[in-house]
Amino acid sequence: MNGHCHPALILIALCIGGIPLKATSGTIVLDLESTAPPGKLSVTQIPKKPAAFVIDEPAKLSFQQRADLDSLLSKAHSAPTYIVLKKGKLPVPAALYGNELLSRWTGGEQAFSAMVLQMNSPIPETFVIIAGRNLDAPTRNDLLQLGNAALALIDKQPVQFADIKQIATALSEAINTFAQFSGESPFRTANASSVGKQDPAMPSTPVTVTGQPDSITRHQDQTSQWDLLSARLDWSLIRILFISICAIILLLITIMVLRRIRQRRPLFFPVHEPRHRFSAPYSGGSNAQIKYVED
Amino acid sequence: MFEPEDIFSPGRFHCPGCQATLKKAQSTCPHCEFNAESCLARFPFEPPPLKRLMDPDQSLKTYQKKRLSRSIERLEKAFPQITVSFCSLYLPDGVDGRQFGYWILNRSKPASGLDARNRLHHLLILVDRNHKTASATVGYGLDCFLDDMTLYQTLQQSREHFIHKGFVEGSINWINRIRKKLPSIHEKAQIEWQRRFKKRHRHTAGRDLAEQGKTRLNDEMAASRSLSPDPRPIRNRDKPQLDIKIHA
Repeated sequence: MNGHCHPALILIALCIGGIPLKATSGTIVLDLESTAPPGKLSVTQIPKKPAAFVIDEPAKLSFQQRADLDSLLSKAHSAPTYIVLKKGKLPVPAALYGNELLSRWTGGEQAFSAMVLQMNSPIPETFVIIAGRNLDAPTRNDLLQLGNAALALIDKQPVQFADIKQIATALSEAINTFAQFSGESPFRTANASSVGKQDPAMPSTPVTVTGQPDSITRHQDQTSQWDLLSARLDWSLIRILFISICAIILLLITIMVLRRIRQRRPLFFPVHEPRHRFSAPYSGGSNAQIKYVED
Repeated sequence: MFEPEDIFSPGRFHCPGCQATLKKAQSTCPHCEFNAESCLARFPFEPPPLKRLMDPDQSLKTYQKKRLSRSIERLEKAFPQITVSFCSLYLPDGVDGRQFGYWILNRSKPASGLDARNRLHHLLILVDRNHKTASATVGYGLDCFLDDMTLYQTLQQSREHFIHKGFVEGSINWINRIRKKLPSIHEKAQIEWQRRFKKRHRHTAGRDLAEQGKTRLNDEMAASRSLSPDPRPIRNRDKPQLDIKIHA
């Protein structure tokens, strides 16, 4: 292959490498009490609390399917479970988005709430988000396992209605059972009293995420402007643009260097037979003169 | 080998003696009868060899010499055919810098055969500190590219430098101007050459190389013996040939 193609091949490989081909999914456990109140997201970015339990932005579900899911989820009284099918990208990371939604929708009424969040992007991403209040480490761990177990019910990405329904059913039942067993009031009181006396060895991180990139498992006290901005940006596109601009700049530099080299190469005038004048061997009197004094 | 006027638009020549414009190459100026003999009679002595910097009166300071040398070096590096000499003199009254430049360029003894060959592409800058004049003289190899008008225009452009910053700075400025101007002149010359005589040039390329080798040999022989004009015969046979040459 021609050597000139190598930069192009590298560029294509980088571009392809920059596009995620594998969908991400996972469980996110939130502690609504220790997480700072939301508010950075604008009203238009947060959907209103649904009349029932399903928000279907891409209108993926039929009326019958919605009704089916609503009736299924309405049976749960201890811990409401929502299904949110989001159209396009999330304005913020999934953990923050879940925090915003669940804290607004549930208020202080329920100790636990859950959500199956699916983004209807070209590569669908599904998250199980479970929120509680004043969670201690064992509880958080239990909830995490619970969410992972619900996700593990299906092998592949839950793009079909049946899959979503299966996860939602399992999650709703499990979280309700968990809420009932843990005992809503005693649990909350016990945990509320221990808020100020947390084990110093325990991390004070309010959000624990598994199956997620490290970027999400950071301290997320509140939604910062950077979070909002970074979530809105299409990083893969930015990466491609960056690489393209770099390639163009490199190309320009190469052209400039080649031009410079070309300019600096020695030049030779065509050799011709001299026409001798005044019988002189080397110069026939071609000259010019100026006087360099002020006029 | 071609005559310059075969390929390039012939520039106008000026007589070094009376500065009259001549359209044809002639052995004697029809206006003032200037020729090699009259020039030789005017300066009947042996000139010093042509060097990059010629300063018999030691009027240049070390840093000025360095700066001049650097400028000349850059020009010579960009155009390896061209050799540049800077000469600063205090000429007596009545001596014209152009005529003196013509004389020194032709009369000065080449150090070697190669030097004799390079003399055709020589560029001499002569500064007469007495009359406050700066003149430029070029050899046959360059005069159809760097004609008198180009030389004059560039000197005029550097005149302010000569006046306000001294002749050294003025000369440096002029050398730099010429260096920047020459690529476009070269490009034009190459285009002309290729456009008009590409086929012929291809046909005669081998012969030209052989001739160049022969010329070199001749030059070496010429340098080994006493100074003599270019041994190559003039193509136009019917032109009058003077027996008297500028070299004694």
